[in-house]
Amino acid sequence: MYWLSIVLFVIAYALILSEKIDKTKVTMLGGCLMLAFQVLEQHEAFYSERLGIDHNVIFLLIGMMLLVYITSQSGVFEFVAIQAAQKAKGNPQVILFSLAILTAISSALLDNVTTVLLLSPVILLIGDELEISPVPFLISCALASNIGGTATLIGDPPNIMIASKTNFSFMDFLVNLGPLVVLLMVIFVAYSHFVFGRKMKVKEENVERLMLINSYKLIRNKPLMYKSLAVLFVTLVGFLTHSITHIEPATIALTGGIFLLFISKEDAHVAFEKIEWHTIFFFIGLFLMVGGLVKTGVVEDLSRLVVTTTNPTAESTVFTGLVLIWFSGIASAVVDNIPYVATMIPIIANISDQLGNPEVVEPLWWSLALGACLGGNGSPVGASANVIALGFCAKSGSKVSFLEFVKLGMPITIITLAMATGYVYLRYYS
Amino acid sequence: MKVKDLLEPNPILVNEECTMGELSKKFQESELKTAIILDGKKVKGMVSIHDILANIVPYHIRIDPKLADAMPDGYFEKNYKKVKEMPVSEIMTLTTDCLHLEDTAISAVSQFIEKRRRALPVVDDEGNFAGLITRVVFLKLMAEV
Repeated sequence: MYWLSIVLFVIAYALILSEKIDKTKVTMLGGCLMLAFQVLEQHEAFYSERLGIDHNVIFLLIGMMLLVYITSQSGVFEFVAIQAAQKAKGNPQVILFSLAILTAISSALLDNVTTVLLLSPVILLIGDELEISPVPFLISCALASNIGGTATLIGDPPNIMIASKTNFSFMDFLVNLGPLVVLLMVIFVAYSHFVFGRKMKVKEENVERLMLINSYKLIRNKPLMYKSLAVLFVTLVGFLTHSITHIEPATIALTGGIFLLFISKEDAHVAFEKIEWHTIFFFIGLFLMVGGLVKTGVVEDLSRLVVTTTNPTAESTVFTGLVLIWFSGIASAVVDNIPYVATMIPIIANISDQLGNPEVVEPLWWSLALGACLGGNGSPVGASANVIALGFCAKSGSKVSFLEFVKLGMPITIITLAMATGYVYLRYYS
Repeated sequence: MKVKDLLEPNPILVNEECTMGELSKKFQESELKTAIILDGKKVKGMVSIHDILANIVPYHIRIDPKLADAMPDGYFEKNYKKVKEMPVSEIMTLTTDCLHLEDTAISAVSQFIEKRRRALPVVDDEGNFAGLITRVVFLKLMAEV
């Protein structure tokens, strides 16, 4: 069973890397084979907290997807983006800055893929009206979403998975990662201006056209907008007060999503169809596969290897932590960060057990989150938001090649990973 | 009734270099709203009024239609000016679905339903263009029954 679990996992990972077969098909088949060969028992897969499907992650994602979908129907995202461009009086540098900040905040509070999906058509419209290339705005939007999403528990799937395993609260993420993300955004905005902003120029007549857009007409459903924003606000308060109320994040998100569905006039069939089941099943497949690796002892052996190589002690995990940031960063630039983090979580949990001191391992979790989320900016395949932004670039007639994206994304990835390294060292180890 | 008996008398035939502006004028002057693009005697593609209109609506509005509500008056005209000089080759549907002169009416109708088209080109035994048939012609046929 030990070797079978490794073979299944390696084949699945290779297929995901090759991108020749849909990744959900791969993880689900891998997960089903883990069950069929009884590497993992069905009972363990469905009910074991240690080995099975992480229902916290699944239902948190479903809840947030519902919330975001219903809120998006009100038109509020498009309204805010056009308002930002008009408040900037059509100045492309200011628009670049404000859209990056808007994307980062939205990604931190909702999720980065949805944010990029919702903002991209508006960015194309702004580019079209100003007669400038939308590419800088789209790329900047994707990069900012990956940085912004790092700040919170719900901002990026790796954080959701880490939170579920460690029981870190929304506040823990905000307090530990938030200050760094604010700093990273300041640097990113300067970088973005240096790389894109300086060259952008618009004509006065184009600015006038942009100002003629009636952004208020984008709000299709005012009552829905108020209801959505109210429920989102209460949901965020729920996340923030989790350590007092002890209501789990999945319960908060799911209740928020279902409550909004209940009070809105949205069709339940349509709303449930809009849940990204493809992503949900990708997670389910991954949990089954990683569960198999944990059960057969592969993860324990891998964590021993990490311990032997990086030598963490019950007093300090400094070397392991710093290596983890860069290793995770590079890995996440090359492969999807979700399967990477799903594999690393039990390894770090195991290191924690081996060292017998969870407190000394805590910085490792932050290192993993930082590396995995920030590394996504390194290449087009590093994050789903990048893939979406590049798709919109191509549709707008300005195809951005793999290498061109790397040239834009890699410098900021290295800068942010270096800053994260300094931050983790100063905050947890000095 | 065979397809050869249902052909449109004056199909609109253009080459690939024809611009959307020129084609729009042809559509205004004809009852037909679909043109055939020929490469010699062979059918290369088709362009309908729907294809032209779809290109006047920019991609970002096609995927987020509510953006159109916020656009000022004159936006349609502005976008038409942009696409007016584009050659039809950039928007044509490459056609492999053709009817044959000897196809029956019911066979033609089933093709219209399956392909979800408003018009289809017709070819002869050599695969050369032989005419155009539209959905409207079936109304005339129904009136005769």
